Amino acid sequence: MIRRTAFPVVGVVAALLVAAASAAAYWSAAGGGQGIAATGSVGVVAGLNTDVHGTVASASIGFSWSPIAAAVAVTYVVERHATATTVVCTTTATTCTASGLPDGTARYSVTAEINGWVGAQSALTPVIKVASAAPAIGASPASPSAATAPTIDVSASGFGAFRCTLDGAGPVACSPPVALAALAGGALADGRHTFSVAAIDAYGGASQTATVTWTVRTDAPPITAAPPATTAQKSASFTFSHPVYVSFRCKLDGAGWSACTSPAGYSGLAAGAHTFRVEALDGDGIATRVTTATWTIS
Amino acid sequence: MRPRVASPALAALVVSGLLAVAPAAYAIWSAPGSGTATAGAAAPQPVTMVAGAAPTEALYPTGTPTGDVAVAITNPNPYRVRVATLVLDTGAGAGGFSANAAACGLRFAPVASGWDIPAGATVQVDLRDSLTMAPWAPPSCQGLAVQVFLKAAS
Repeated sequence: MIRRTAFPVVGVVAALLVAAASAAAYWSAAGGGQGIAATGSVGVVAGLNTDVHGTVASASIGFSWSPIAAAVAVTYVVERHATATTVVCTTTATTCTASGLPDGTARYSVTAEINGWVGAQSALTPVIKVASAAPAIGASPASPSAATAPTIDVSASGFGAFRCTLDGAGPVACSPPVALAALAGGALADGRHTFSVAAIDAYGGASQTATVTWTVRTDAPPITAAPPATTAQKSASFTFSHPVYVSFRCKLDGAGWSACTSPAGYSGLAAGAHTFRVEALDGDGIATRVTTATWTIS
Repeated sequence: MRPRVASPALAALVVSGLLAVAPAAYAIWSAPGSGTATAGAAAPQPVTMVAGAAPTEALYPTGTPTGDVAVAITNPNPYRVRVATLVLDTGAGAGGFSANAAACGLRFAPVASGWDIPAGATVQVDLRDSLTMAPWAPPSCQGLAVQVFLKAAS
């Protein structure tokens, strides 16, 4: 309970509080003048870095650079300078891989941009030549082919290293002439085969791929007509054919192989056992397996 | 023993007197640079503002607050004053900014942090993220020193 004698003190305190509150308002100041602000600018990227130089087989080149100093998002534009200037990368990162580059020589630069403000172009890279054309495939198996261990010749201007794929296996490093049996781990089986090759540059980049597809068929030509197993006839005739090959080579007894056509006839044969052999030849002159017929002249 | 009725009456008188004087004094001291003193109080001088130290945040055409304003506020009075809010003085310069930035689409967001300025002192104030530049600001807006005209508001 507050005694009545305290009222003067309470009153004075209240008055002081009111006065203090008013004093705070007194200190509010007016006035004016000017401050200073600064607008930014888009700096120059110190340099455009790439791991490749000289001639490359890949149509993709990776670039990196150091960011410019800015507290806001910066877009970087990498350009290819040849007879025309084209944009090959636009990114907010500080790396990019330019893909699908055309063959030819060019230099590259990077420029920073902030919402339409374009900085100065960086220094140009040294000249980089892209030679991404697929290697040339020279001698390769005919199709169909009777060869089970063929070789394929490949070449690419400016590159001596290649990467090969046979029937989807690989790729593995290879060099011309490429022995396919070595890639396959043995003789090629009958059937369809696909060989692909790309040139490899000094940085491991790969060119476009050259591909060749062919069929291996080594089955022997069937003999459809031949003398009976024993006969008194001094002559003999053999009829044969092949589903895909049209050239043949025949051999009678110990004579050498010679070109022949069906029917192949022989006369003046001596009495005794005889052996006839025939093989088909593919477009490259490679022989299939041999069909043999034996009979005896009594 | 004094009469008990005297003290409340005296207190009420003191309170009334103070309440009457305070608003009057406030009305006088809050007026910038003009007016006359009453009740023996000198009129406060308005604070002055000049460009402060170098701004720490550069302004870019982002449409978002990215820039700061550096201002040095000086209190010429022999007592502490308080600057409650700083607003753009659109009547000065080109809409509150120096003419070199007229095409940059600048906007200033009033800052109401409140700053106590000691008697006769200068306080460096950095108004962070108080400025915005329009995203369409042309490249000519790069690398400018922009004067920002400010005034104190209560």
